[in-house]
Amino acid sequence: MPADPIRPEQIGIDAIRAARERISGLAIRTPLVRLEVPEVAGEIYLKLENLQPIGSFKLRGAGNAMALASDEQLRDGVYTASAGNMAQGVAWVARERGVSCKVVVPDHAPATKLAAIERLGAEIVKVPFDLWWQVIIEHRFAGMEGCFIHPVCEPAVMAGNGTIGLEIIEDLPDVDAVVLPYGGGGLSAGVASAIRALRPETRLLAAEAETAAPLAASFAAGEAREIDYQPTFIDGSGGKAVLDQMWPLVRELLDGSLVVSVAEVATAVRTLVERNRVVAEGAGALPVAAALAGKAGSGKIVCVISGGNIDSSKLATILSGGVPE
Amino acid sequence: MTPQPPSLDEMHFAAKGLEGVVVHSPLVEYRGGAADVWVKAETVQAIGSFKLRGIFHAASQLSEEQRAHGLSTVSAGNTAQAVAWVGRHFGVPARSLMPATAPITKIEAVKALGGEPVLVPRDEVFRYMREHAWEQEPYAFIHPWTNRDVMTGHASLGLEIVADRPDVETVFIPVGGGGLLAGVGSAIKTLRPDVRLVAVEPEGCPSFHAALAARGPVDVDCSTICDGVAVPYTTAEMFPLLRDLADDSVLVSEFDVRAAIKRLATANALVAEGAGALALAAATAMSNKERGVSVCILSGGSIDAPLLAEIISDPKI
Repeated sequence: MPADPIRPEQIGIDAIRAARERISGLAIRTPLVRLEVPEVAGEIYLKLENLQPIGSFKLRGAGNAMALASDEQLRDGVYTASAGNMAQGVAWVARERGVSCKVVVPDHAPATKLAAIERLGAEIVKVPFDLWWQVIIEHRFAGMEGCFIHPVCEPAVMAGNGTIGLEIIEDLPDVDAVVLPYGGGGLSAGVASAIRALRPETRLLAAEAETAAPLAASFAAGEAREIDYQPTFIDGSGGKAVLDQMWPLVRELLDGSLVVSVAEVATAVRTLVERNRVVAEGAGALPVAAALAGKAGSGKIVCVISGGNIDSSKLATILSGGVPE
Repeated sequence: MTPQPPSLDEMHFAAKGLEGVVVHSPLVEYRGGAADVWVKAETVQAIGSFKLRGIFHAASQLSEEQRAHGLSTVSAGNTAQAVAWVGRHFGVPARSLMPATAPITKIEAVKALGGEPVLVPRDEVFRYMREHAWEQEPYAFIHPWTNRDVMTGHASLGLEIVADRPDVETVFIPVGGGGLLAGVGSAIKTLRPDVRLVAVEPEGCPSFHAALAARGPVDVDCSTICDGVAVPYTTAEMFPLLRDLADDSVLVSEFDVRAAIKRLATANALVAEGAGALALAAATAMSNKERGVSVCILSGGSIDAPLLAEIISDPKI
C-alpha cells in the first residue's frame, strides 16, 4: 500500500544539519573541483561523491537513517531494494552496526555492484524489475523480515543526502545552478532542500537519460507520469515512473529536468576520466552530459557526480569510443 | 649543491599561499582488498597531479619582472601541465621541453592550458638537464626537482597527510627526480620522525634504488609505463637529501603497476597513471603487519584512454 507523500518540512535544514553530525566519520567530505574542460564557457564544478567509501553518495542517507533506528528496530536486521548503490550503503552501515542485511535487486543489476554488496556481507535476492519496482512502491517485500530502509522515500535518507547541499554552499557560496542525476528522487529532494533553504535563487535541475526520463514527462504533463523504461548502462538512475510520494516534493523543489542521450552520457564518462581522472558510472555522469550540452544554462554550475561503480568492461568500451549496451 | 630542506614555517607559508589554488585532496580508503591502506588522491588537483603545489609556490616566489620573461621547465608531462596552468594564472608564457614519447593526453593538456610543449627526443631532454642548458635561455626556469621552492610547495601535501591521519605509520612515495619525496618527506619527518618513508620506483627504471646500492648516482636504463618517473639517474644534488629521508626503497613490477591501475579504477573510481599507481602497488605487496596504517600517494592520473581501456579489460589482471 502506497505511503503518504513526503512533506517538505520533514527534510528541513535542521534535519539536514543534524544528519551531518550523525554521519561525520562515516561519509567523507568530498572535494568540489572544476571540470577541466577549458574550451567550454562558464564554470562547471564537480561534487565528487564517487570518492565516498562505497563509491557513491548513498552512504550519507543510509548512515543517517540507520543512526536514527534503535537497536530494537534493527533486531531482525535490515533490508532494502536497490540497483546496487543504496544496497552498498545499507550493507556498509549494517556491517558497522553488526546487524544482518538483505538486498532485493532487479535482475539487470551490474555484476560490479552485486560483487561489492556480497563483499560487504549482505545477502542478495534477485527479482524481475517489475517485482523490484513493487517493493519500491509498497515499502515492503512480502515475507522478508527486518527493518526496511527505503532507498528514496525516507525523510532520514533524504536528510542524509541533503548534507551534500551544505557542503556545496560552503565551498561555492555563489553557486548559480546545481544539476542532480534523477533516479528515485531522494538525492534531488535532499540536496535541493538544503540549497533552497540556504540560497533560494539557485537553479535546481534534475538530469535524466532519454531512455528513462519520467520526471521530464511529469513536468511536461503537470502530474506524475509513468513512461516506457528501457534499461541501459546508466543503471543507477531512472525508473519507470515518478513515485507518487515524491512528485509533490520534487515538483516544488526542482526547476525542471534536463534530458540527454545515452551517447552523450558515455562521452561524459570518458571526459571525466580524461580530463578529471575520475571514474563515474552512467548516472554519475548525467549532470555533466547535460552541462556540457549547455542545457544547464550559464554561470557557476555544480554537477553532482553521484557514483563511480561501473563494470570494467563497460568502462573499457567507453574509453575505446563506444557506447555500452 | 644539495638544497636545504624547507623549515616548518616555510612549509606553512607555502600551504597558505596554495589555498584556493590546490584542493586539500581527500584521503580515501582503498577498497581493493588490503586493510589500512589510504590513498592520497592528488588526481583531484586541477591538472590531475600534485605538481601544481610546488610549481605554483615556486612561481609565486618570483618577482613580477622575473615571471614576465615567461616560465619554463623540463617535463615528462605533469610538470609541464602545472607550468602551463600557472603561466595562464599569471598571464605569462609557459614553455616546456618534453620528450616526444610523452602520453598524448599530457601533450594535449599542456596545449589546452595555453602552454607551449617543445617536443624533443628523450635523450635530448636529459642532456638539457645535465648541462643546465636553461641557463642560456631568457625564461624563468623552474627545475622540477632541485628548486627549493618547488620542494616547499610539495611539502604542503605532507602536512595534509599528518593532519588527516595522525595514526599514519608508513607513507609510500613514488620517486622520479625526487622532488615529491624531498618535499613530502621533509614535512613528515619534521612533524613525525617515527613515520616510515618508502621510496617506490618501477623495476623498469630503478635509478634511486641503484644509487643507494652504489652509494652515489648512477645511470640506469628506463623501460616502463610509469612515464612520470622515468628518470634514468638521480642527480648528485638530490641524492644526499633523498638518501637521508627514505627509510626504504622498493621496486614494483610492470604487472603490479597495471594491476594497481585497474584496482584503483574499479574499486575506488580513481584514474591513475603508471607512476601514480606505484605507491599503492608497493603497499599492497607488503603485509599489513609490516607496514601498519599506510598512506599511498596517488601522484597523478594522466594516462591515455586506450592504455587505460587495455589495462582494465586485461583478463590476466
